[in-house]
Amino acid sequence: MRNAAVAELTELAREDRRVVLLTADLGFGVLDNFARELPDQFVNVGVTEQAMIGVATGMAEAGLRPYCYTIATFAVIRPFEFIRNGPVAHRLPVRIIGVGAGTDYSYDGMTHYALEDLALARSQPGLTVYSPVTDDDTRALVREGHGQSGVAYFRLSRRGSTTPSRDVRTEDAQDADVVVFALGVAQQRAHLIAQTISDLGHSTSVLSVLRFDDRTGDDLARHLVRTRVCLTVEDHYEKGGLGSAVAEVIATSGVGVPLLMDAVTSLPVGALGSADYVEAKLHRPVEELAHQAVSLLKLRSPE
Amino acid sequence: MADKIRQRILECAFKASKGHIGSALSIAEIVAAIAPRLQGLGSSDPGRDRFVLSKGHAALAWYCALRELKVIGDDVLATYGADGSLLGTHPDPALVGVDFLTGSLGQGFSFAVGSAMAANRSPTPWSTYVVLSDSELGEGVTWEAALLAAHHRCAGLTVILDLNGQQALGFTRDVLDTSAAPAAFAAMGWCVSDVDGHDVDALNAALSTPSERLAGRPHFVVARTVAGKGVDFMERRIEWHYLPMTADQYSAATAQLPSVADA
Repeated sequence: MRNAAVAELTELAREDRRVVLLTADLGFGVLDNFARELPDQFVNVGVTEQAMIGVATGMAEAGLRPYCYTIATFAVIRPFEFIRNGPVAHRLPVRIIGVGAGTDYSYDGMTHYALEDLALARSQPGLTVYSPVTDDDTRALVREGHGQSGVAYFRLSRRGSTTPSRDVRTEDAQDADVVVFALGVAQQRAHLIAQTISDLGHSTSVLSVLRFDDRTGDDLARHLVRTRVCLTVEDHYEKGGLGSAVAEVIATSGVGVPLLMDAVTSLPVGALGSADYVEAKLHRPVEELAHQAVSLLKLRSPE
Repeated sequence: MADKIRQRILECAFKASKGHIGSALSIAEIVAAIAPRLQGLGSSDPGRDRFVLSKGHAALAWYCALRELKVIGDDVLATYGADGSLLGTHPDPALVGVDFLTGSLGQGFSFAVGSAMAANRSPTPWSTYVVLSDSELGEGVTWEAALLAAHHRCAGLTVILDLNGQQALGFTRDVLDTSAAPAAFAAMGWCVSDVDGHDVDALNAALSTPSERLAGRPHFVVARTVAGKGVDFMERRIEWHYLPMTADQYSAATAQLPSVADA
């Protein structure tokens, strides 16, 4: 996914010489081609994540189109106040590419997990969060974001999903017992839960939220009115993430749909391992979530 | 011009019943030296010189400098502290003559380094000036920004350190000693000058340092100042970081300033 993002950005940078790619000394093997081909548009600022956002702010004010690349938690959480007082406050086109959504860097531990980045980023007026699922999504969204005037945060995993996403913005709403909204590559887990619900005899529709912006609430509401139960699946803390975004829509739109959230609720310290191991440690089992969804369905229409 | 800025600072702060007076008085000569040098000040020309008041809490001094140069009028300056004013306690680029939002210490310096790096890439480079407080030397990002500016040879960047030796709750030497900063900046590859920050001629001489001496380096001008300068009961007094003036204090303060006619 990061390779797809940088490949698309390289094409954009060839077309638009205002593009400058900044990295806080990360991207080994990922940024090499860009740096080699477009050295005048590439700056390794060193391990200075706060200054990187500040520098990008000054560059964008001067008419450049800076992209800031590093691991997601260092891209958003560490320099968050710089994002807020820099590109957001000045309404400048700074783009942040954060790699390692959720617990993607599973072996690296909590310091490398991004579990509250969406909560922080989606709180900011004029900032669009892009959360692609596949490499194809990534390329399309990087290009889409470049064409926008505002601040953007691309929340990427290292590897994209091989299952195509169904975009909550463009897919037609359809009747389903359970609608499942997924964040990024958590889409794979969403499909597993949805399959189990289907096996229990209920219809499902799995959709991905690829953008968090002013229209996301309407996107979600359009699908919520066609379902009886909603499940959100995300590699993010429960507070402030996708589930919270859906809860806000349910509470404010009057759509009376029960919500089940699959998110991280415990502190991700201690034993760690592969991505699958950490996911299993931090999330409830797929079968348990499927049965909970079905229980909610029965509460909705007791027979 | 500095005397008039100082007079206006007192008048505006008194009328609005606002503090940060000592910090603003500390930089009256600094802004009087910088403001007239800024090419395109008040315009939105992308090639204009940039100014960043990294110590945003001294915004009132900058507003008064903008008034002296007629970038803003008396009517705008008179709104300081009023509902609906664009003149907050900290500067906002919604106001003409303000390039960057500051107030969170240390951030402005990093914005300025980005501007200077962009200028390095421009066929028509501009100059970027920063006013940094000595307490901002406590912020980690100040050192990130300083390293970056030196490494990327930001010769168009000038940082003026308002070295008044005070911060919100005490004297800098007692709270967090930053006296090693000038030597550290020199060691990082900055050209360092050291001047009396209340001597406009000395400031102007430093700001006119020839490019041969800069030799591609960013310029760190240590301006030795006195917080509350010009009003004896405010000078070097910690409480004037925050306190507004009473009517008696305002009368006593203005009586100490030289009389200057409006520009």
